[in-house]
Amino acid sequence: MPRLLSHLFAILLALVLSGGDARAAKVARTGADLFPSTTVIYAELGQSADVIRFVMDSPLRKNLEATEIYPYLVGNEEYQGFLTILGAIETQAGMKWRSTLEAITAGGVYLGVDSETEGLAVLLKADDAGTLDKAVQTLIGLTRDDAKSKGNPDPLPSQLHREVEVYKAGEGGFAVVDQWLIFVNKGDLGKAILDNLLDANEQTLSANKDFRTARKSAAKGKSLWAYTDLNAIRSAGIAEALFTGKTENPGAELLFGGIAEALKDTPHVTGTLDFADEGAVLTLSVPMDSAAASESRSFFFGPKGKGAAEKPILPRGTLLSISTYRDLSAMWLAADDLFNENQAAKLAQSETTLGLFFNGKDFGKEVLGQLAPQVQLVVARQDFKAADGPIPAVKYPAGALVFHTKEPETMQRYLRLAFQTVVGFINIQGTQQGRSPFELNNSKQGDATVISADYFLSDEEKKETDAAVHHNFSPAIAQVGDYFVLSSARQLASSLIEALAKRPKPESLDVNTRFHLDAKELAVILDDNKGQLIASNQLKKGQTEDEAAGEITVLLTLVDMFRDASLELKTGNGQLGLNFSIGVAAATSK
Amino acid sequence: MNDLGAVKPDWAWAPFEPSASQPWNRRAAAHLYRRAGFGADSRQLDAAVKQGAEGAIKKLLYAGSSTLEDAPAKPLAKGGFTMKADMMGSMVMSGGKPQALGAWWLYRMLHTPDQSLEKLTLFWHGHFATSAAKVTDARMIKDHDTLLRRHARGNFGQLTHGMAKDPAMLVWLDSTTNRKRRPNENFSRELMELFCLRVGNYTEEDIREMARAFTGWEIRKGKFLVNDRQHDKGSKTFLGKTGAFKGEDAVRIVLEQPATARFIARKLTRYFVCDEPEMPDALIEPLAILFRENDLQVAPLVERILRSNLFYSKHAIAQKVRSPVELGIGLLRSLEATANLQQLNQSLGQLGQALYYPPNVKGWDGGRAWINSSTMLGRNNLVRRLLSDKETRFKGGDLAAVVKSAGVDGSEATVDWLLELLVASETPRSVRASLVSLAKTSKGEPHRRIAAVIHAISALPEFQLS
Repeated sequence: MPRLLSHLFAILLALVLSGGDARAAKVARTGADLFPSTTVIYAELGQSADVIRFVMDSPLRKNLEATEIYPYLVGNEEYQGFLTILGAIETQAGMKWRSTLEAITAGGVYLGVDSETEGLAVLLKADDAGTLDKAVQTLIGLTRDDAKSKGNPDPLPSQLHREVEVYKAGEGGFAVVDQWLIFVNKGDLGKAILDNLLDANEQTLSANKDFRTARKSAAKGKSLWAYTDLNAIRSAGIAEALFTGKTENPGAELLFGGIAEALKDTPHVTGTLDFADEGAVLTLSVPMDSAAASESRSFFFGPKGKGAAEKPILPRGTLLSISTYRDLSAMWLAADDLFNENQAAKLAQSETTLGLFFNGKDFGKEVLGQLAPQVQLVVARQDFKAADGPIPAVKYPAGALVFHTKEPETMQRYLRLAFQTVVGFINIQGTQQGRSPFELNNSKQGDATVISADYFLSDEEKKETDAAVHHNFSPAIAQVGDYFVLSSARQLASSLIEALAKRPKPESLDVNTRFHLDAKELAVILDDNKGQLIASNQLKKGQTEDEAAGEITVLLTLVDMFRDASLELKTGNGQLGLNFSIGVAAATSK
Repeated sequence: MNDLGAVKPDWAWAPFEPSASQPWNRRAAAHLYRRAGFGADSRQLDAAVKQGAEGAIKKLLYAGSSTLEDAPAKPLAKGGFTMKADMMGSMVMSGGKPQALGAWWLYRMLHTPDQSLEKLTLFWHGHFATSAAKVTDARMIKDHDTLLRRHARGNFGQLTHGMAKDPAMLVWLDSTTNRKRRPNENFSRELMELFCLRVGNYTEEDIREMARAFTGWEIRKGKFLVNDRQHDKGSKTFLGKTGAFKGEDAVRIVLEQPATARFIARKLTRYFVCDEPEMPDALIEPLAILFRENDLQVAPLVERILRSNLFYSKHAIAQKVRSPVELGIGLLRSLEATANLQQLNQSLGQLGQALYYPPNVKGWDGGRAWINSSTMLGRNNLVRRLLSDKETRFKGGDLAAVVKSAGVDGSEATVDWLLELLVASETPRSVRASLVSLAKTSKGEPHRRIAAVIHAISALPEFQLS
């Protein structure tokens, strides 16, 4: 008995060890073990089933199927032709395409771009060599039969490379080795990958030191992980402008200055993409110590690189909100370091003019310096029916900037003065063009003071329902505690006051910048302007009204299928990260 | 040299009777469509041949109305194309940019079933030239356009009265205020010099006196109004009349001048018959009489011109230089195509004819002024771009489908068909042979081969003529 037990134990141990070896081998061999070490762009889709599920089963697809446009999308000739081919493949292979696809990508899908051969390769790893071979042979057979029926030569001539049958297509080709299907667009890259696979070479991408570092810090369990060797790209002189560390444009600097700072010398960028029923999340990150960023970029990253945006204010109808940390005064004062001579001179010149609006104050130091670095931009849909004014034919959303002022009592007086001066200028210009002038109105809303510039209109003009485009605007400023609101429309200023009043105190986010777009509000705004969009399509594409209306309906339907999109820029832990997520609308019950 | 000196008025304006030497065929119908409209496709030419010259003219000019009286007041498809086009115009205008209106007008020209209305509106746009370069309010420009279109085939008197109170016109002529102490002479000067009489039919004193009649006419907040306190109520003397005239009286007196009918008849014959030489007085007089007898109704005058022997003679065929708008829209209409009209509008501006942006108060000079070494290249490039742009769409899919649907097959037949469709005059045999050779030897898909031939045709001097 003990002997029997010891035999059984030995057998079990052997089984476990052999099984363990097999699993270990499977885990060890990823695309990174096959691509050459000179690979500069690499992506691996470890969880291919997640992607297939997202495409086939997510609410996004269910919503699409529930739309009126779906029958048209799947009813066209090309799609029906594709289904016929797919049916033929399924019949020949004796498997449904989805289970085949899941099976032949179960071990992952890998993409790489190699700098040495300037080639691109896609590798598929199946869980079962037999299924992969059958699927590939079926496709080869169908392709050859099709060519033969048309009297064309064999489109996939093959040759042997170290006893592996390689099928040629253009400059590249493909081959199947055990569980691996290898596609390349350059023969030399194909040979390198095959040799690495057959010889179990160790000098592959996996051995690249920088790659290993990037890999170590990669988040686990993501559907897709990607790596780009920026050192190699910089050395090759590709997209040089991207790596200069300069933006040369104040708008671009304000938005992307910190990213430009990171890109100038970071070794690599990694990314992940994750799919779930609720949507997809793309994350990009580069190694960067934001605390050690150049002095001129302190406006972007803040003291010790810890500048944080404020929690967004979201009044009703918010389409877009951007909340960010940007020290505008610091950026203005660093203009000589940030921009070229010409651009810096332009800013210096405008400083004098801008100062005049503030009773001669120094614009960079005394005006912008009075604003705290937490800045928000809010764009919201306007409810024209609720407002006592004309309804414009083209309905734009309103936009507002929200600042904290450091010395509210003093500063807000100057901001009021500047607002009145600007409105005066607009009135002079507007009346010359026959437009109604703005009249300034002062009002209180709770504790807040609002100054708005409303068009001076007759009762008849106020009732217009297809009014001119300028009726989208009724600029307003508001003071709410130490907040200062500058809005393109009075209604949004009022909504912001309400939203601010509900906030007990400002809260910081753990991000440098947060951007959020509400797809539902976007759909409503597009729908409000449907007629205008159709007319524009007719003129731009020479379409009939029906064709243009159809295209706009498709656009609206597609927008309606999403919930929102957001982008966050994060600093900390030696990384600069960018997270982009897109939310899918909940499945409709139709 | 187009010698009109020997042409007898009786023959010139007598109704055209087809003959063996001048038959009513596709080529003649194409000439009619190019002048009364912008161009016809192959099917429209076949239909016009079947209808006969008179039927085709009536269809083009009165757009389905059986009587002349109905036509100006009741344009074609009031509830159909016109209504939709007007709604689209409101949409475009509400964007606030007058530049966008140019593309909208091109849309009308390209898709309207009533081509002559757009062609005459274009004529009056050049006549009462008002530019959005100064009148930047899109709504004013659109209202100005509506006024032109409303009376384009109707009563010239009503159109002129409307212009005198048109905000866009008065802004354009710096006449938004007109005080009795300092009368603004701009409108009275242009009314006589450019709109109705022509130089030589009035004096500087007439201008000064007439300007007093318009005092008190103002534009306020984009609308016309009469400021009675600023109107000079005293007696004025101009064009041989004396009285305490108001602005309306001034317009009426100008319209009553015999020179007005002559001036408009002359300008319309230049627009429809030939650029050069200037029509002799003897040829103009019968038309001026007809115009006056019809109380300055435009349609009967245009009908007489389009039905005349002169219109189908060598004095008219290929005797005009195509304007950029005629070239672009004509090509698209002939080939049953649609295109990116915003881009086309920009291209036409580069060739010298930006709609709603005439160069000055005299409008476009037209004729030979359309052509110079730069615009020749630009016109050729425009054709190439229209044919190759991915947003240009042809009925049936591509040019090959258009040719096929016309029942045309083979290189020679295709070249002949294209020449008949696109070129006003006979093409020299050697040129035709070159085009056939190009059609046979050019490479690529059928669409590209046909496009190559059209592009080559567009480089011919004959293609520039209408």
